[in-house]
Amino acid sequence: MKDQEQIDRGKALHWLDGDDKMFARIKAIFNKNIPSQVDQLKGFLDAGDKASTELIAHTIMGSSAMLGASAMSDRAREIERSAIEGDMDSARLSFSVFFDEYEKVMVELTEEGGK
Amino acid sequence: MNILVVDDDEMVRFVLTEKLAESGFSATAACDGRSAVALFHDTSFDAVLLDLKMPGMDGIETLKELRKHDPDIPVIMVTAFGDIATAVEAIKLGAYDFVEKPPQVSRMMLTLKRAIEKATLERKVRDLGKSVEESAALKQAYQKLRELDLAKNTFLSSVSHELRTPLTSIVGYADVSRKKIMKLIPEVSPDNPKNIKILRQVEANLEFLITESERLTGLIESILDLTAMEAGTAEWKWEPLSLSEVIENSAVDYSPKLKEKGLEFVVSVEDELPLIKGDRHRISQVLSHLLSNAVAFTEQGRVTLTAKKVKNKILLSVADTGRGIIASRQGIVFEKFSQLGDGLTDKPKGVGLGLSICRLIVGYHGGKIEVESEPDKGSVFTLLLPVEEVMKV
Repeated sequence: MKDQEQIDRGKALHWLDGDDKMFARIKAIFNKNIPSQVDQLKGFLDAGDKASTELIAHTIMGSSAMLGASAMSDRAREIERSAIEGDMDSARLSFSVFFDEYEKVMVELTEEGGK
Repeated sequence: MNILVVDDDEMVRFVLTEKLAESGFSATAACDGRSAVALFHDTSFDAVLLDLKMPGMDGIETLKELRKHDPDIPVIMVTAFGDIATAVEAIKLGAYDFVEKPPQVSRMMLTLKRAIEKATLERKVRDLGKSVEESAALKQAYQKLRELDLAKNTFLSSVSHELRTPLTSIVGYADVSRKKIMKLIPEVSPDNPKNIKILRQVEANLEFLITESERLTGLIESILDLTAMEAGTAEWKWEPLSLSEVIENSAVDYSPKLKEKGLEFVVSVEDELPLIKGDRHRISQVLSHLLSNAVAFTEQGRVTLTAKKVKNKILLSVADTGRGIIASRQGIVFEKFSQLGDGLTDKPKGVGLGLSICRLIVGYHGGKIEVESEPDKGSVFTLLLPVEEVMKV
């Protein structure tokens, strides 16, 4: 994987048994769902809703891991863990790092889509 | 195979349902626990892939609900790395296994197939266990029946012995009394015909008493014979036996009776019939019973006694031109207390033990007895004694 690449295609294909078409289709699903999920995450963090934060962070963590976006998945996991521990300040702090990774992934997806 | 995929993540649902379909499964997706439970009410599934962490009803709660509906359904938990402790809890609650997210498709399929295989095997083992239990119950019931049968035989045997002893005395005293009466009659003065009439009446009554007592003794002997044979306590005297001799003796015994009734008696015995290992008295008993029936139930025509070797069996038959056995009784004539009708038709005569005893005797000789009959044309009773089996006795 090149340094600037956020989506580890090899890893994603490993989960999918090398199914390229499936990979393309899950990228489309990710692209469709992730913006609203991230919005929800931000909303729950702002509202201090620990349980909802934990759940949506968990979902984002799983989706991004499946796509091969490991850095974004790891950051989502940090938020989930902070929420589980009840430390919403840490969760909010982690969100900004997470958001950076999210934007990078989206840029990459957009670039791939334009190719 | 119908698989239920329960996951709040659309990507996971999509990947798993697609890959399951590619592998030949039928897959249904639910986005949360409540939808999964609702689907379970209406549809039958063979396995469930269940996400552990979901909004609303989580994986553990969903698992509990699903297993209420189907305690044997194989469930595989799908979980993130951090939830392994919870996944272990799910296994304690009956889940088959767990796979980590993101699920690697081929590994997931392998786990799923193993789960289904295990559930199928468990079901088979359980069914087998039921069969074994049923078999044990049957064995117990059979044993109980055997005990009851033995108790019945013991009872019959005891009662018969108790009846036979006084009957012997009755017959003895009646016979002595009859003979005394017979001696007295000539001594009574012819001038007193009333007394002679009374004595003759007493003599006739004693004669009737003796005949009926002897008949009752015969019945008791039959019951004792039957119960002893059924219980395996009957005594047998096995010897190399010439059936030709047995037939000849029976023919001599029955010729006068047949002649008296105006019936032709044909005896056809193949030359050089092989010796069999048998009980002379018992085989004679069978022949006597069959000939006795033939005489009793044939009004005209003939009775034919045949013996020949057919392959490795000896075929011995008693055929008559009597009134035959009605179709409804042919299948049960060898059953205990299945009385042959009057003229082998439908009016009971005798107590119905003779042919049962014949069947038991032939069975002890390793053979079988059959009957073919046509009403108004006659009956053929056939004994088949397999020579090899007979020699093993």
